[in-house]
Amino acid sequence: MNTSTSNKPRMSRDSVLTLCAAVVGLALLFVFDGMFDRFTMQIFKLCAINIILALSLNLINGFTGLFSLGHAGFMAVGAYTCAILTMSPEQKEVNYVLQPIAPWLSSVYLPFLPSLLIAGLLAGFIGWLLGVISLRLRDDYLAIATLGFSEIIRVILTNASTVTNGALGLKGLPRFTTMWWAWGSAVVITLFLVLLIKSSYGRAFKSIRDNEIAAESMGIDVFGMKVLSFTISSFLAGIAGGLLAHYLTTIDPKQFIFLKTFDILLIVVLGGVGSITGSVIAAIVVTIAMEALRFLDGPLNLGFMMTNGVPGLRMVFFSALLMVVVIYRQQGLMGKSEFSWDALSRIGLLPRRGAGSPKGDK
Amino acid sequence: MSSLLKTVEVNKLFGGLAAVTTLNMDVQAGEIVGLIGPNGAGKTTSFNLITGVYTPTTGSIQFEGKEIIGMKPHAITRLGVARTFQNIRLFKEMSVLDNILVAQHMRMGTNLLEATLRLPSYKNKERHIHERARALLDEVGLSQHEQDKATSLPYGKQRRLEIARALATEPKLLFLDEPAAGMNPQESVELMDFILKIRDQFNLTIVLIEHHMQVVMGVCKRMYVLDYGVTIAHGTPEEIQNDPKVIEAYLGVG
Repeated sequence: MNTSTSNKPRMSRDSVLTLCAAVVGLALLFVFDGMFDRFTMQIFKLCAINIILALSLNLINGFTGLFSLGHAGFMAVGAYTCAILTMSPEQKEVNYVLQPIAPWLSSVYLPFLPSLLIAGLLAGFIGWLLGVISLRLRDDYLAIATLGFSEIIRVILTNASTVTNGALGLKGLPRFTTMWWAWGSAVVITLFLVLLIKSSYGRAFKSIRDNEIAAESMGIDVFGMKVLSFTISSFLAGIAGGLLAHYLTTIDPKQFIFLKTFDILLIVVLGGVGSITGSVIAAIVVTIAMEALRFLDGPLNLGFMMTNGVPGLRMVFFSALLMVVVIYRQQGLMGKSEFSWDALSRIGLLPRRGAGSPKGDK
Repeated sequence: MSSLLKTVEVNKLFGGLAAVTTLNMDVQAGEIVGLIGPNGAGKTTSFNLITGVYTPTTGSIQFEGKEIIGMKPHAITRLGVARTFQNIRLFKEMSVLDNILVAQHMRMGTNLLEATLRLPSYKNKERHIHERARALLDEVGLSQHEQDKATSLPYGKQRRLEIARALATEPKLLFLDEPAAGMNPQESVELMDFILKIRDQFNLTIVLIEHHMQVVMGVCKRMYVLDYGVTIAHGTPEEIQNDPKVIEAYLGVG
């Protein structure tokens, strides 16, 4: 975009680096896919899904400045839509034991990709609807409204038994979310968001975050832009929900309580509210740490005493981490800055002309 | 000549408080009109009424003969009305250049698909608005600060950036809310020259609120004086200076 003649050669260096990083990233995915056991790969896939979730929440909270807490609801819509559409009629009969499935749904049977897109579109549509209604509110009022919305979705899922199988949930979903699906979606969505944020629309979103009244006076249709950002965000959350359903292969309404939103919010805050790079890094680190710290839940030998397992102790670690971040580094890992090859050479990690580094392809 | 902006009997009540009463302004194209009055006289409220931030309780506001009451602020900006703010409202986390680019989004006429796919048509528009933004920054002498954060600029430059940002929306009518606030006499003189320059260069009509009498008297051919929401006088600077009601409003009855 801002290609002046002076940094033409640097641009080509950046393209080479990006290409190298993409190749290295692809090679790493191949190696990981073959090398690691299934458990490790599951965590690796979850990283990708969490990247999508964190990015979509960051789009509204970090870039558009709307404090929304409805993400679990949009995920639930996406997860259930995708799951119901991809289940074969036989599976449906097995699943819906208490109450039979609504007749209009019983014979629907679609491949994964269209189901995933429909899941995203339905979540996006509901996001649009909620946006039109609730985006007249601001700050904590919006947070409460969206929080309430996600609980409403959960209650509907629990009670609409002929569609969702109620509290029993859906079991035995096909394991469609392979590593390629998970990481493929994450990369495509990350690229999309980078392009969006760096476009004129991204600037408009940020202007609303920085000063709503001035943005409106500069000809930005603030309400329309908020609804747009909210819709895109819910679309992406719906996609992530669909991926999650076919990753877990079992879903039920309890998974989508509002605490799920806070897990994602934790990633966004740790990574930096308003940084795509931050969300990507934090999503990977937090997802891996959640598993790596599992030993905290088991029996511990602290030297002076033994505990015999406190379930949930690892969450205490994250709560403490969040408190430390909020007190000492409010901007999170990255603040509002983004990864760039220039930044790497500025801090001396990269010579002017160098080979690719395995740092992700952004 | 028909007037560019006309307000007819505009009233604004905040509960029981009459912030603006029977505001009758008539601004011709190419004029620089002053709006003065003691603190709390309703000057900024008048700006907010005309730019759509508030809706008048009664009355009519016409821009180029078109009724604009009930229109949203961004739609009024699209018609060609821009403004600056009394307490500077820049996009604080964004660069100086981005501040200007945002203001061009409306006239850029792009869509989401074109923008995210970076189609050649979008790249052209983007190049065009970058050129225009840089020209504007050059105009107000902020070129060297292009990549700086907007709030890192010193106060006077922030004011100029706000004017440049308003100009980027391609206005016909520009509202300046206390442009000389916090400026020393030297800067105020420069500001007067600057206001006259942009008026001629961008074919503007300007309405400005100002307490700095030297500035108002220097650039405005005509002015309105408000006190407690009521227009107590209007006329040329000389007429205003000798109007007993104005003297009373500013100095009190002797």
